Amino acid sequence: MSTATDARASVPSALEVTRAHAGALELDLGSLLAEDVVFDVRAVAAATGTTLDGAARERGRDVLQRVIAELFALPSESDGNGRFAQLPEPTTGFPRARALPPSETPLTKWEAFAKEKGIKKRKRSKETFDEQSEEWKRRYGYKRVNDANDVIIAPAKMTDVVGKTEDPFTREEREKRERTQKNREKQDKNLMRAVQEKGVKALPPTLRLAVTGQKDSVGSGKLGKREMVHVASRVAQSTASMGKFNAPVAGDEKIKLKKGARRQFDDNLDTEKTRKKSQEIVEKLLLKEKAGGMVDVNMAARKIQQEKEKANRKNKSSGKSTEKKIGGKTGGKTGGKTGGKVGSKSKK
Amino acid sequence: MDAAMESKMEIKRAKTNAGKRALLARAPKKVEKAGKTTLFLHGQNSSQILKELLSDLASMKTLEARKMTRKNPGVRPFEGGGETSLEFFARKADASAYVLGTHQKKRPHCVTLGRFFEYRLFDQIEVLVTDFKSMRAFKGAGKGAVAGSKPCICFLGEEFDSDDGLKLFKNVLSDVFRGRVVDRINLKGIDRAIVCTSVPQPGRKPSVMFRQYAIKYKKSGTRLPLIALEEMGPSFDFTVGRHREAPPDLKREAYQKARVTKKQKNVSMDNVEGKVGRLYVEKQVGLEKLGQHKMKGLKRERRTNAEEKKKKSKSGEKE
Repeated sequence: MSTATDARASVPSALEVTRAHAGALELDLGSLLAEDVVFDVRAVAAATGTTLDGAARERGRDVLQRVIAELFALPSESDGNGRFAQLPEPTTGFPRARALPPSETPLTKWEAFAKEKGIKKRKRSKETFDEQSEEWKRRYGYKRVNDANDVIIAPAKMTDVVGKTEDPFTREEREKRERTQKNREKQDKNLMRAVQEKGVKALPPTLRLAVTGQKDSVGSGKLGKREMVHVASRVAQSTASMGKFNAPVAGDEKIKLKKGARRQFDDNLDTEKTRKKSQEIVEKLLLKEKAGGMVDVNMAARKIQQEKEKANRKNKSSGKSTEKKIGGKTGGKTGGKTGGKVGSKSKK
Repeated sequence: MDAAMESKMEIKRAKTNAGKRALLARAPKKVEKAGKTTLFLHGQNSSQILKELLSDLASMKTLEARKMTRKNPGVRPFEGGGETSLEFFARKADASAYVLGTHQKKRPHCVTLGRFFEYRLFDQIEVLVTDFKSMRAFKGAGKGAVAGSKPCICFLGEEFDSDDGLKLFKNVLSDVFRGRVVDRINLKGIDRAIVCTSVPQPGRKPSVMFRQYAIKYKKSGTRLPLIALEEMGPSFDFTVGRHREAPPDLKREAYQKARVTKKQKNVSMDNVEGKVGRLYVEKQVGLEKLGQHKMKGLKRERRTNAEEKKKKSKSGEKE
């Protein structure tokens, strides 16, 4: 900490006029800090007959007056907003909020290899001469030499086969994508190597190290919609109350809980009910016999239609049109035998 | 890290530019110039006094304060495991210091000031508050002070140099309230001061009077203004309770400074001449007006003749 500097000739008198503290002070003008360690409030208050608060305030004023005087004595510049004093570097040490970032970035695999072999980076000009257009163009980037995007008609080769050879433009796109991907992988490998050597701190601040496959179980698109619903319903049921008292969650109402089949038993003592049931069965059987060749027309028509559509679909998928055959088949089904069957089913 | 672990890890990149910028803003800096973002929160129990005090202290920090209003039963920074949720909050708020208010029978109206290093608790000190008067009680005395201005901080008393607790308090308080590190300051803008005065108590720990004043400039008849102090609050007295310094190895790491070397421009080494400097010399004007020795070859007549001759010879070649 600095003490009073030799200021202008007028300042000492000004210090006296403003009653600035003249004693020893520890000052850190860079942080606007002042410390007066030779001050005893109790003694001063007793001597001057003021309160502790009053004595402290008086001394505080004098010390601050001195700080202001020191600040006014610093080299300054003025602009529209007032006069600005140029502060010295702060002298008091404070801990950092974050650790000091590493000063050097770890070498990539190529850099390490080049260093070992003594390969030096050559400086290349940013521009090269394009012989086609006879002008200087960038080596890389916008308006570069040999830009694949500038090619309007790609020359064919003798070996090209129509329909089998890849379209040159899509090939260019694919290759570019692959190159980028490869480069990205190499970058990642280099970063992982750096992390292995120097810890996570070696990573640039915009990158993070994360566990792979964290997202894979749900939401990565690996589960289908149906499976998701299945999993969700399973999860919803996996509570102590089998999902009965789940707290309402938005979207949960869409999940249908699958209920198990409930077995029902008739009363053993109620003879009237059992009698009725057996009578029903007998009547059903009797009706069937009576009906003989009778047909439930509506049901039959529906069945026929369904069969027709089914066959249609089958034919479409196999790529053959067999309208006639379908007619024949369905016609057969309208016969008495099948009709009877259908009718009986409908009454069940 | 072993190979199996490596295979499970992957590098994740910021997906948007805004995200990238946000991460960069949070990245550790070589030279830290920003003021310490401070978390203001309450523990299990708090009191009205603490609520007002913390909001006053937060208003002294303005933009660098992150205030939390609810109770935080899990925050007990002096007890084992009691710092976990505090550190979590620090990481969330990107804070590097905290001010915690707790009110217990054993330690009534207790304010804990602490700092973080890498979002880990670094050091901390408890102060037990008495005789509190809030900023509001001073009725706009601090109206002249601009929010976010850098305060002068003043420590009076021998105890700030001898008492361990007060030494730590001095460092923490100045660190928290000094604000941004700046290289220049508007002389008119020095508008408030925090003054801490230690009061020796015979047979007991010293107490401290914490006061904040607005600084008013008055005419003194010299170039230097005469200053007058007007108390603006908050104002309170306290004694130091528990305190914990940072472990030495952590301290060493936290006090590291980046080696800043200025790039030397226009200086190079020459094999023959050694160190060579390049100077900027302004363009010289008025040289043409100087009386020079005129040679025959420079005369206009001769020059034009020579040019014509050249042209003729060239055209002759072409034909």
